[in-house]
Amino acid sequence: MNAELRALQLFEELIELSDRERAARLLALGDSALAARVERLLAADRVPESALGDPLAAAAVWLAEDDRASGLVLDRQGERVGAWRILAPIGRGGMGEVFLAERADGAFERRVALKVLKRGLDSEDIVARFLGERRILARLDHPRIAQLVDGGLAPDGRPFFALELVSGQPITEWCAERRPGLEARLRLLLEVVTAVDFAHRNLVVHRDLKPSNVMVTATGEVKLLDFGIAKLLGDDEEEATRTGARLLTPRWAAPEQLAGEPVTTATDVHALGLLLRELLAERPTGDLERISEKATRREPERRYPSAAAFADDVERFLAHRPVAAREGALTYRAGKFVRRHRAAVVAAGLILASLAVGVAATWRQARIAEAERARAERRFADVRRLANVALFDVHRSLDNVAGAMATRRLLVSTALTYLDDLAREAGDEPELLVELATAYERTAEVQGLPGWPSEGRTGDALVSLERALELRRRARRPAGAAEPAAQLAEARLLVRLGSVLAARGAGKAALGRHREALAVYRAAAPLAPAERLAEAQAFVALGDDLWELGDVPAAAGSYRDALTGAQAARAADPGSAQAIRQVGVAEQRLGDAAAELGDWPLALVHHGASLAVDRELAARDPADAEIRRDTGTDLSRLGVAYAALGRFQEALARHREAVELREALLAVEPEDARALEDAAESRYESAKVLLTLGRHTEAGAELVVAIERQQRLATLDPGNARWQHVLAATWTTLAELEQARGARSAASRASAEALALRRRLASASPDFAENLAALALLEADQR
Amino acid sequence: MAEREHADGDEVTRLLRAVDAGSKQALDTPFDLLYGKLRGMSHRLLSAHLRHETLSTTVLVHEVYLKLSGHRDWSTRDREHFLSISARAMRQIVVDVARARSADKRGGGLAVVPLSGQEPELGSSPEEVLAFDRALAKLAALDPQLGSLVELRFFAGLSLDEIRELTGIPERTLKRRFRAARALLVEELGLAPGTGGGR
Repeated sequence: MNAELRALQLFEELIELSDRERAARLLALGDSALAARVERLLAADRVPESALGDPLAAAAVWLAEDDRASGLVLDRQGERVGAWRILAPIGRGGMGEVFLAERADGAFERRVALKVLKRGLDSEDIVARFLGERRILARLDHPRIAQLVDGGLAPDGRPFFALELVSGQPITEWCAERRPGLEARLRLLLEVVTAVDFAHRNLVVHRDLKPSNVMVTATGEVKLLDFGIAKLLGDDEEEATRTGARLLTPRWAAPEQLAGEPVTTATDVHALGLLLRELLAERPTGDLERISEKATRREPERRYPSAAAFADDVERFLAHRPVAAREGALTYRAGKFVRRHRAAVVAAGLILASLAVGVAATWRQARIAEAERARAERRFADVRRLANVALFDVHRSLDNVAGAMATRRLLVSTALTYLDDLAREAGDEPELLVELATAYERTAEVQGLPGWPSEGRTGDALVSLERALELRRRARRPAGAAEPAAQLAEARLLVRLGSVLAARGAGKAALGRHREALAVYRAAAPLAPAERLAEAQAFVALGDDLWELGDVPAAAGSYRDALTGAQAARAADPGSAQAIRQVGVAEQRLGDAAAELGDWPLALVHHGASLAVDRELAARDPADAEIRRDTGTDLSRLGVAYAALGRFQEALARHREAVELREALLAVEPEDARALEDAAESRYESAKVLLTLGRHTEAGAELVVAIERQQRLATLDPGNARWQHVLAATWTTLAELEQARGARSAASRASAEALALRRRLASASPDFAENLAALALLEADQR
Repeated sequence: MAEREHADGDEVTRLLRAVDAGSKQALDTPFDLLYGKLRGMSHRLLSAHLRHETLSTTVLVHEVYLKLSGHRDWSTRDREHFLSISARAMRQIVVDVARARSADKRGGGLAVVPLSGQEPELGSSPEEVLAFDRALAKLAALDPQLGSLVELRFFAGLSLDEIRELTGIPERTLKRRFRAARALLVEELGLAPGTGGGR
């Protein structure tokens, strides 16, 4: 055995050497038996891969065959499936069996290919998706696309689809047999592309284009099979990230599919590029190679922006014109935009696309003769209006749609680009400056406003907001004092600016901005209900600043002012969801303050009131992500209050409910800073209760998850002091847990992490009073 | 179904943590659980992959991993435990299937009927799979690390990169180790020139 191991070690040393060196080393061994053993291993190393076979692949086939042996494939002739009667089996594929079938009720004569899916594919989900997509798929009425005729559940509970019957052979086989010339092959491909483009314009992506789905009939017509089916089978974006692209054919899958990233029309463009390569008898050269290369680029946005653009280039090749080498940045952006988003934002995509044209035209026209001036100005106004529609109307509609982050970011940054261009053209026109200020404010919302679903980039948000404030002030300068509406808008901006400052740990600066805002509101009194609400928000923000600076009783006073304002606004407009929500926010903060001051029974009252508000709001609009977030917060605070009162089971129940709700929200927006913070918080609080109950293992598991979430947060937004702060608290709790478990070294490791963080925090933001206190405690501990 | 998986995921996490805590008995339970899970999913998944050019048992392990880990966060230790136990379970499944096949043949049971003609050409027999398993067992007896590396590669389907990340073995060393494993297996299976051993 030892000799064998020695031989193995020698082999590993020798394989990286040249033949001559190997021979010298073996000779130098002076152990001919060992040398011979190593020689044999080296000989084995030279056996080519092809000689090896793959026993595992065989085993995989047997496993699948067991499936058949156990009687899963039935003789189903004559059986009724939905409105269809099975006539004969056609074949068997990855997703199930395919039968020839006809209408059972004889309502009309139609034969279809009936696909009965395998058992185990998630039936209910598939049927639900089918019902959801049916209208869209039914619209795919194109001579080159085999239509989806029907779908439902077979009597044995398996989902089925009825598809237009196509007899033909896969396009690659057809080409191999008939050997058409290059031009004929490309014309055939163009037919495929036309059909794909048609589907894309109807918002359907194929997702699984490959030769076996591209048939050529006996009469030489192309027919695409299975359009939209891949999505019905659940290989959609969310699913793909979770389960991997399990039904894909790796050879035909685009990189984004393999990576579990969103599938778009660019995914089909990729497949078309592969198909082009496959259809040519020889390796593509010259322009065709370039076309195929561009269609199959790794990054979806660097491919052809659409199937039509791909087709254009193939046509150009056929017409002996130069192919498009590179797409302009603007076309790319618009193309990507339209591709990425479905119905809700397609309108915005079109708006932006026309903006591109509009801006270019405006510039050109503005420079033309004086006589053209009026027309150019009209054009200018049009562009501006479009930008505003994109920015305000469409963007607004996405405010509370979870998962819409990428859309919002793209929308805002694109519109901002156009407005910036216009502003450069327009000089100091106040109205335009105000629009631009609003655009910057919108950008800040996406970048990282506290309390908004955001990317957590508060540093960028701060820059955007300051730019917005500067623009607003520049806008009003020529006119002297601002109008009331402009004043109030500035007040709102100040509130936001303060909140970003607060989130970045600059408590005193935040307090200043919030006081400025409240002064504006005071001067503008009496306020309309909507402004009353905005003022209440400012009071809440001011309370938060005071709190952060360590003055909780003063904070509670500010929250009471907020509650009074919100209740007045609600009384003025009882149906207003915003007013109800603001009441909830004030109650929540009052609960927090009571808790901080140790008045737990009062905390239970306020948080209970806040939760009641959330439940009322949720009943009105169950999909509203913001309400669900608030509900999570209240549950979490109630949990804390119950724990403080020694009612641990009630506490744990609240925290568990909060974890579930918040993790669900995080799953929708995995990069959302607030969702991360919330999920971490509930994990942390659950852990604390579990720790008290002596359930150490469960507590440890929760803490590990909480730390992971918080570390993600800290990476996402390194400038934000709050994340470091909560992370420090979690490390401290973990240290306690390890201590309780008797794991001394783990405990001191965790406590060292906490200490390091606190030190950094205390030096970075000295007005964060709690840090100083915590630091003092930790340092005392370590001594 | 989703709920069940959720529960299984919790159970697996708990068991994996127990493995971490050093309970020997805990090691068998996740094995059984994973064996059942992998076996149960084999029908659906492998059939779905039959049409495809690359066919492997390892899809299963990945699938089960994703299903069971769900949204929860497994530590690197959890992941390593999971994957090595799954690899072992997968190996056991493959061997069990091969044994059953081999018995069928000897007893004149089910004939192996080719599928629709779309599956790749396979030269392997159940005996070859069993020989592979025996060769792997010998290799593991000689060098346990090599044995588990091969299991991770072939039965859990991890790429070199993933194995490097999981084990911390540098890439170059890893490549050398796999070449050594391959040479030993080739020899043991009697595929090397001038050797007769193995089967």
